[in-house]
Amino acid sequence: MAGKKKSILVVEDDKNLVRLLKDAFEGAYDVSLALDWQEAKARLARMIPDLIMLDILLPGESGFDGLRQIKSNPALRGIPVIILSNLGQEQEIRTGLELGAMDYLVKADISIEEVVKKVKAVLAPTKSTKRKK
Amino acid sequence: MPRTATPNLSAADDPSLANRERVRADFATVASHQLRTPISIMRWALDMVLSGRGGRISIKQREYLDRAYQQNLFMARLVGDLLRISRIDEEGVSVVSAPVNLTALVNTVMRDESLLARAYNCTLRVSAPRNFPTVVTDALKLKEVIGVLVDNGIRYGRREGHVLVALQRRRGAVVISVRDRGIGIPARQQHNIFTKFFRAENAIRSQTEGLGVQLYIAKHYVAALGGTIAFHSVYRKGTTFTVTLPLRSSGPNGGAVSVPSLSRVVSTELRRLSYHLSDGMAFLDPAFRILEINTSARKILGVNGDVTGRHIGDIVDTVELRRFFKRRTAGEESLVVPLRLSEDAQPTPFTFFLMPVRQQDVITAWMLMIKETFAHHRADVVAAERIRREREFVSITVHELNGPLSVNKWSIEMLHRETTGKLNAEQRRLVDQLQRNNDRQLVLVKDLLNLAKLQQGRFSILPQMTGITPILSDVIAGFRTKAKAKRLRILWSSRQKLPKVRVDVGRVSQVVSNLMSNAIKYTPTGGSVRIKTRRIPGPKLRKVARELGVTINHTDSPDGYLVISVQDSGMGIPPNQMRKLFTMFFRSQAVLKAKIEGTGLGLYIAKAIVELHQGDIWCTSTMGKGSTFSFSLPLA
Repeated sequence: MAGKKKSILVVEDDKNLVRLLKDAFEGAYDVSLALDWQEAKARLARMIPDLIMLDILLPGESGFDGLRQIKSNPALRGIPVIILSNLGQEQEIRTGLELGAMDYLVKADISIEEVVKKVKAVLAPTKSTKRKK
Repeated sequence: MPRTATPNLSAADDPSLANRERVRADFATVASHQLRTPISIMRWALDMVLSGRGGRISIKQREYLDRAYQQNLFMARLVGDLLRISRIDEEGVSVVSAPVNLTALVNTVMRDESLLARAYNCTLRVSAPRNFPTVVTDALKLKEVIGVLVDNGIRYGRREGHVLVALQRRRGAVVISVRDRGIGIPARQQHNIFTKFFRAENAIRSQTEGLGVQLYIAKHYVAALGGTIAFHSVYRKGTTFTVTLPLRSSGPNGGAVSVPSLSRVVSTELRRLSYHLSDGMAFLDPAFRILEINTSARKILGVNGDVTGRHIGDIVDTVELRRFFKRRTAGEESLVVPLRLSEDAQPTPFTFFLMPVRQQDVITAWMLMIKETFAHHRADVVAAERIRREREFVSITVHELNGPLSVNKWSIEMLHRETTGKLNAEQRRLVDQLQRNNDRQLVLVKDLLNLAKLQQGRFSILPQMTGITPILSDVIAGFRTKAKAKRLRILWSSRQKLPKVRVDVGRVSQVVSNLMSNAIKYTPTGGSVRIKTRRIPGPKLRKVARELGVTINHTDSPDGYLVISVQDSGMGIPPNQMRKLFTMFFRSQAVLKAKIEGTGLGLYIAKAIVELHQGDIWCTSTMGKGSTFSFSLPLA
């Protein structure tokens, strides 16, 4: 298991943001990108990432739709999901967490340093292989 | 004693349309106005660093700065268009038809766009056959649509390009095509082009600001006029938009449109809009079978599971509704039905609006809207519809503004931390400038959202019993660094024993935060900020109001009030400006002269929060010595 980089799937339609995230992770993780939920589904059919970072307002199906699908799919429901969105109203945050997201980060309110810290915390190597909370 | 202006906190019930229109104009005007300054400051600072005048920059740094520059341009464009969107959104889908000379209309548009065309070195051409027939349509809406298409053609066009508007006659219809030789839209994105806020990737790369809202609006207008809009685009070659309008808005005509493609576009739109809709919404095919239904409609109708393809009359459980949907109808219909949302709830009247969606006079779909009705009057429903659109406008605008601001926030953070390369002193100063102004915009956008909520009556508080000391402690701790930077002393005794209050912790923190922020901002270096808390019985509070000459309305709490004061040793506020202090966007002249950054919304919002808690906020000040801002909270 040693030496293999952890992988993150970022579902986000703003390419600028993803580039920034990639730079911020400094090559510590394998980052792949999906510009909408359709593309994300296609990627998830081929590989299981160690973390999904999910935006909400996407062209086509929303991040909430995607999250529902992840949590109702036995093959995918164990993957931790961090929502990264600019929709920051209480109702939306509540929905995201109720649907099973591990965390809900509002882009405009959080520094990239904190995002990296949270991701590192989720992807830190653990002794046990248990994923379920 | 004169009452200070109180914000209208229940705008939802306010019949005064004039007030709401002012409110609407305020949001968009203010947003664009206030954002322009930090946006231009950023542009200037970015120009400086990118030009190398501050010092050499690495390739990585250039990449980051370029990105920030793009986002800044995009912000500028977005903000510039806010007013326009606001106006267009407000007019809704009502159409006023009259005979229109299309050639003259197109020429007017070209005249309006000539300045922009000149700036982009673009030629505008019109091709219209002689004696072109008159069209019965809404001239204003159509002018807007053609304007948007020509505008896009100019902006997305190549330098020395041209935009051609051609008019053609078809059987029973006219075709207006707007063609440019621009960058085109990549095939993969063509599907998205009419959704709100679409922006093509290559538009951003080619440094053109793009705003999908305009196309979104154009599409809705054309649909309201009974026409269709389509486009053909070849990547890197150009785009042609084609608007087909019937000669008159009624009367049968040929040309059916395949329903599956319509429902695909519709379902994308519906899903995107659904979040902000508390109204029920559904799309039906011409035979009233369900194509799409949103969450609210499901809740209202008590529908579970997948109902796509089923006749809507079959899934509703009220006799009137079933009859309503089973009846053959050719036009817009509405029905008010009382529904019980749950077993023990009171029946609430809901209005069902059924509206045909026409493509060239053939009904290709039906749109169903379900609204909770506060009265059976059409006027109230129209007003409620306006409010809903306002909310959606605000939500989406704020979200869109936060997009580029977040990207910039992180870009600047990375530049600042020198992960992209070292910065010399001058460059660091400029990057600080960028950070300050980006943060300023972020704060402003937050404030604007609060403002909009206040005005729409959506600003709510969740009170709980709590001590005030931890709230003050937290907020004050957050300001220690800023205060230290200005060598200001913060004087506060946290050891006082204070009774608990019933407040919304977050909101009251916001108030204290705002007062602290102001105190620190407007006090020159070496000064002090003192925070005091005391318990004052109602009658004594009335006496205080008389003595200070301020307005305190809430003085009847039997257990008295907790009064929190923030006193600074700053420049003071001139007496003639005291009256305006808590109004929207007030910035005193002294502050403007001293070029202190702020949005002018903080106190207005603070006042609203305090009053929602049944308290008051007031200020006393002495020029050259300082000001004291105090607010009261009733004790339980």
